[in-house]
Amino acid sequence: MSIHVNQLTKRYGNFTALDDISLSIDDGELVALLGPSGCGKTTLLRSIAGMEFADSGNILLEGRDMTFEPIRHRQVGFVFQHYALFNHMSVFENVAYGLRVRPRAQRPTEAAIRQRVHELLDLVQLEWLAKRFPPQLSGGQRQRIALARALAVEPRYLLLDEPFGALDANVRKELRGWLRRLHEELHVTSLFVTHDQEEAMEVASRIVVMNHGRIEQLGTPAEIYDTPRTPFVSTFIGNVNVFRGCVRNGAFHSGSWRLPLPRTLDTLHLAEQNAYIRPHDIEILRGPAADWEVRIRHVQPMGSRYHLEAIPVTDASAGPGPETESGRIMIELTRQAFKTLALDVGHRVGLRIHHVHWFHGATTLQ
Amino acid sequence: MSHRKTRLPGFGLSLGITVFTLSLLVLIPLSALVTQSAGLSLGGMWHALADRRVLAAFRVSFSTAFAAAFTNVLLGLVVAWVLVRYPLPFKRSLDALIDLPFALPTAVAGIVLTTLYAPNGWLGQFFTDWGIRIAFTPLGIVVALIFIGLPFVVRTVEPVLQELDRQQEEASTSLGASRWQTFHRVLLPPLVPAILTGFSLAFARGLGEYGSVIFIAGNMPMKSEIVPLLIVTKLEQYDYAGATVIALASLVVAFIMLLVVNGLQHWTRKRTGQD
Repeated sequence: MSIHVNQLTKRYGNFTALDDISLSIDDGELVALLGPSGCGKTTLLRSIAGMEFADSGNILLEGRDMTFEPIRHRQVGFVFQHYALFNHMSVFENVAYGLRVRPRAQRPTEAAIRQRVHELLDLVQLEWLAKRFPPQLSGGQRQRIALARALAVEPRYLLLDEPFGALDANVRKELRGWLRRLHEELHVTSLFVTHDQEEAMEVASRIVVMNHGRIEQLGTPAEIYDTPRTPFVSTFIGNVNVFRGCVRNGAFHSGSWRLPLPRTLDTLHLAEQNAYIRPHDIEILRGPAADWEVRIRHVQPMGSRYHLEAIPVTDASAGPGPETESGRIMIELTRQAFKTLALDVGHRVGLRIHHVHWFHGATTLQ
Repeated sequence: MSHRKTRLPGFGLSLGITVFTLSLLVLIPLSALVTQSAGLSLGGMWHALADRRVLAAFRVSFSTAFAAAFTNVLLGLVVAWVLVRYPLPFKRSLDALIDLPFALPTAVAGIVLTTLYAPNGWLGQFFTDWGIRIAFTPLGIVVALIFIGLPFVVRTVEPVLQELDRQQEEASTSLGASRWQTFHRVLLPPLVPAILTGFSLAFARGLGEYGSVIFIAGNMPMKSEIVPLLIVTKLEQYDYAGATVIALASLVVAFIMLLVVNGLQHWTRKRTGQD
């Protein structure tokens, strides 16, 4: 049950919601559409569902052109951020709805409907709520019922629009794992929209990162995180320190600090260049042999990890320090490393940089 | 009498005002009605009511008010739908237009409608061609009552329609429902309580309406004479007891019907988990 999107474009007045989007999703995948609000991810999802129609381009479902088919004929199950349950129907009737509205010839018998609904309620582990009404349920319960309702019609595609966006952090975390396990069980091709990178990383087998109506990168969570293709991806997924500077004489210079460049890049001369460094790619050293020296200004224990903020230490003779966006450098340590180094606010320590993402313009430099 | 302390302030004061207003404006006048008619014996009351002309007036009043309220539900639903769901030019003016029947002196409405729907009137002439007479028949009464009652339905349905979650409709179509199924299974049920309220308001107003109806009705005894007019006629003949008995009977029947509608409303709310 593959999905192919070819050069889809959609404008609202002057605003381009989708800008020449092409995308292929294979049968049985669980893919996340990730991006900031207004990036076009929901428009893309709704276009695939048939709730919106693009200005140009087409959508193939299982190889068939469905660009202008109404949603009824697309066999998609859609889950909304705010559940969109039918409040005047019991939970049972909500789940049974898709079966009851079938044309008479295809409609299952009452007994078959009953059995199917109970199977689905069992699947979402909410059998005991069958007689209740949606307003009497918690958010997490409602969303699980909404999912059961969508699954009742045996959709070929499951499309979820920020399914956990309206839920508490704890419930959200629980439902993420649950959704992934459900997908492993059912293997229905699924596409979900989220603005939460952690959610995308945790649930999806592949992630589509979108910004300004375009696809910035498409890849597995590991690919997206380890080898971001654009500065946007690097800053949007996970934390990153951005050092502004330039490239000359085979090295990157930011203020008085310099970093050697990888061999493939050292012939370049660039007046403006940024270095993107993840907080956990910075090692803290006590004593000499460090690339850079900083003073620790803030320590934030985050459970298994420690987040540190440091400011550059510069001598008057060496000139100004490096230029970062916040003036501070974010460093992330494991609890173990933090304890071993016995660090505290005010300490002066050295830094060693282990990995840098380099981008030229909007693309990556390898 | 004791009541638990509540966190809402002003319970005593607001209850006092409520009881005072209700007594002064509703209960005392209504009980005056009862005491007035108590002057008649039961046999006398029966005699006053069982008159063929009175019964005919009741039939005309209730059937026209019911027909008009029912038509208003259908029309009002469509009007409210259009006002809420479609982007229209001059939407605000259109919206204000809905309330106009409230503001217009009813006699003016009656005269205008009569002029239009008279057999030789602007609109009436076309109906005459079809052999349909509107003015000076019960049909004319229905037309007047539709005019008077429409805002009740529109104004009660509109806010509920505005509150409806449009994604429920999208959810319905994504599950394979046709437009009609989406309408009557998803859209209509939440509107039913508001529709019933609008219906009972329009119906009650229709029963009591006098000014607009007497011009268009023709007021022929046994055919197009309404209860309020009959009461006025009795009063003009100094038959105060007869007038109050008719008023009382009309009141009781109306009260029972409104009670039934309210019960129906309660039942639908309960059945659909809204209570």
